[in-house]
Amino acid sequence: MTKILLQGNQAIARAAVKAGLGFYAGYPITPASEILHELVSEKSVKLMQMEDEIASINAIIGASLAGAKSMTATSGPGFSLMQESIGLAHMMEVPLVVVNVQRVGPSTGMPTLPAQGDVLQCKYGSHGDYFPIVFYPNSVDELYQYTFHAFNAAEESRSPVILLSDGYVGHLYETIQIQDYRISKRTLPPLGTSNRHFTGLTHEGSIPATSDPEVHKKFIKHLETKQKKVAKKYNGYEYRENASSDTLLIAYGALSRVSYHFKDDFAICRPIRIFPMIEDIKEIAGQYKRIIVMEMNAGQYVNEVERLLHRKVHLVSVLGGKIDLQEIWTKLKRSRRET
Amino acid sequence: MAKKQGIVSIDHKRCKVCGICVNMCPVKNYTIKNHKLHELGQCIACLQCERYCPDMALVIDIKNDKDTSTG
Amino acid sequence: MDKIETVQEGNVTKVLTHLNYLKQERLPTQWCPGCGNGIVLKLVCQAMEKLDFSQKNTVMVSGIGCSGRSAGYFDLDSIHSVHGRAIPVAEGIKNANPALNVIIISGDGDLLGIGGNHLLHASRRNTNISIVCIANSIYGMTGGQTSPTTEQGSKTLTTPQGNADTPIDVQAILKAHNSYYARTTVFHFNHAEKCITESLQHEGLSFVEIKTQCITNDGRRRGFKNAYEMMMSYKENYKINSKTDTLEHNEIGIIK
Repeated sequence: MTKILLQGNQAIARAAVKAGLGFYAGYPITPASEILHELVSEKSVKLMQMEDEIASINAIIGASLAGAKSMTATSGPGFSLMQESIGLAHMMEVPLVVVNVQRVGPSTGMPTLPAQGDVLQCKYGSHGDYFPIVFYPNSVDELYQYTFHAFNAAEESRSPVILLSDGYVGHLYETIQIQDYRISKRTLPPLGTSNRHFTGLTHEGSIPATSDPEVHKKFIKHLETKQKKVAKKYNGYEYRENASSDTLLIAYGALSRVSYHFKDDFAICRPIRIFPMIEDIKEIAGQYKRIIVMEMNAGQYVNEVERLLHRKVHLVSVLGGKIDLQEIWTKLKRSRRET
Repeated sequence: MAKKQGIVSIDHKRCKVCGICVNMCPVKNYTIKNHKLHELGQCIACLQCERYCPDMALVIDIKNDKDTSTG
Repeated sequence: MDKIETVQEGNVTKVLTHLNYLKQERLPTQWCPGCGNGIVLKLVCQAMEKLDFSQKNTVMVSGIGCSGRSAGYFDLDSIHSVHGRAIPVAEGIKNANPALNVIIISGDGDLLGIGGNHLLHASRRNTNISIVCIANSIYGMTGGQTSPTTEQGSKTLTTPQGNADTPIDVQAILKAHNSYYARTTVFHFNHAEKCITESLQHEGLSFVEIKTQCITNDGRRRGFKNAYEMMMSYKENYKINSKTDTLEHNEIGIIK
């Protein structure tokens, strides 16, 4: 085991290479560009700098079908552009890893500052029904580890897996222990071996297109079951119990690092696999009178948690990319007073 | 002189009766009746119809029989 | 191969080898009667047969639209991607596995309209892929709206007074990057076959624009009675130019 000082974005790139990345297509964007830079000199990775993010995601779909483990990385604006083809990859069942290093939005927003505004977009961004696996680590070490998991989950589920990060964790430098993680083999036979037809149309077996509602229902059910089954293998979350507190604080990504400051006053739960949601949260939340979700957006994951728990969940929203401990503490105290 | 002759096979499952062959044929070997393509047995195997049929519905076999006529 | 279609008639047996490249069970195609897309399929099959392309080394990619359904008819690994993105998908395939022959069949709206930017950059990168553009000058699947190759003055669903804009000059884009460009029509069958065969052999990006009739949503609005008349208009309007290195709007030919 070696110790090494790495930036969050670098860690993703290095782990991806170790996990067997064969093809990377990307378009420069702050704060995700370092992933592209890190891969430039990698001999084992075929790299394409595309004309835009739409081309990037489609190129990795092609490359993945052709037999290479493929990845792209972007930030909010690029992630928005990619949505249509993320849906395509779910429909065609293509394993991919899409990294989104979030920045302040909407639109161009504040490119250099971190945010967590793309959380719901990960789940609902593309049209139609699909059930993505989304990981959101909060440290350089965890980014390294979860890049492996993302590639493995992509192969096992044959779907695009989203690895979320943010401008804060992505640009953070930390010393990490380089470890070997399990690496999944390719599950999809490469192009040029058969007469399969990959299509974005609802399809079944050798029928390339259909308008049969039953086929569609069956297909959506298949996607849901498959994704849930694979997600179970990556049940990543952190729970810091606090018997003296009646309040559970749920936070993830960059902001979850801040939540550790309040560990004496709250119990803390940090989902790493943010979608599909960790079922254990139900049980954990049952032990507390009050639930607070703290996130760097105007309230996204809070709705998902509410939907999971069927009870009132309070929100502490941190907007504008600035993480001010004093301000957060004041808001937390106010939330704790509410019932 | 050997007279070229063709044997026409029409795949009616594929034929959409678009009429391209009817118009293309230099000897008017095709006709459409009751929304179905018919062939009149005068094919000279020029292969124009086979080539331009968008639905791969026509196959022309060239029969090179020795000519028995005097002409 | 076990799928060779033979036609038995008396003592004559004919082998239609080019049909080997198509999924027989999927015929007839779902296109309208008289649609030229089927002729383009046949042309591509014949060119592939000439060059001995096989299931083991060829991949077909298409975008969205009537012509986007082309890929699915080939008895190869084929991809029906999203609207306009056939080119980046093909580039990804080619880069990940350069041993594959990657062929795109798609329409003019798909490749030149929504996907125009990708063509611009793929030709700049000169990725070794072959693009067959079924240019019917109309958005056929959605009812007959103006497309990027609709001639000026031409009446469509969205330009009832005649199209005011000039059609896209694909030739100029590809010439600027020294890529292979050919323009041909479905009527000029031998010429079209030559264009496609050469394009499949070309090292680097190649683009074949095949003028194709859409009788249902274009021809009828412009006064044509049937598909045959439209094909004859190609015969009258387009002359083969094999001398100069620039094609006029009424000329067909190959520019390398």
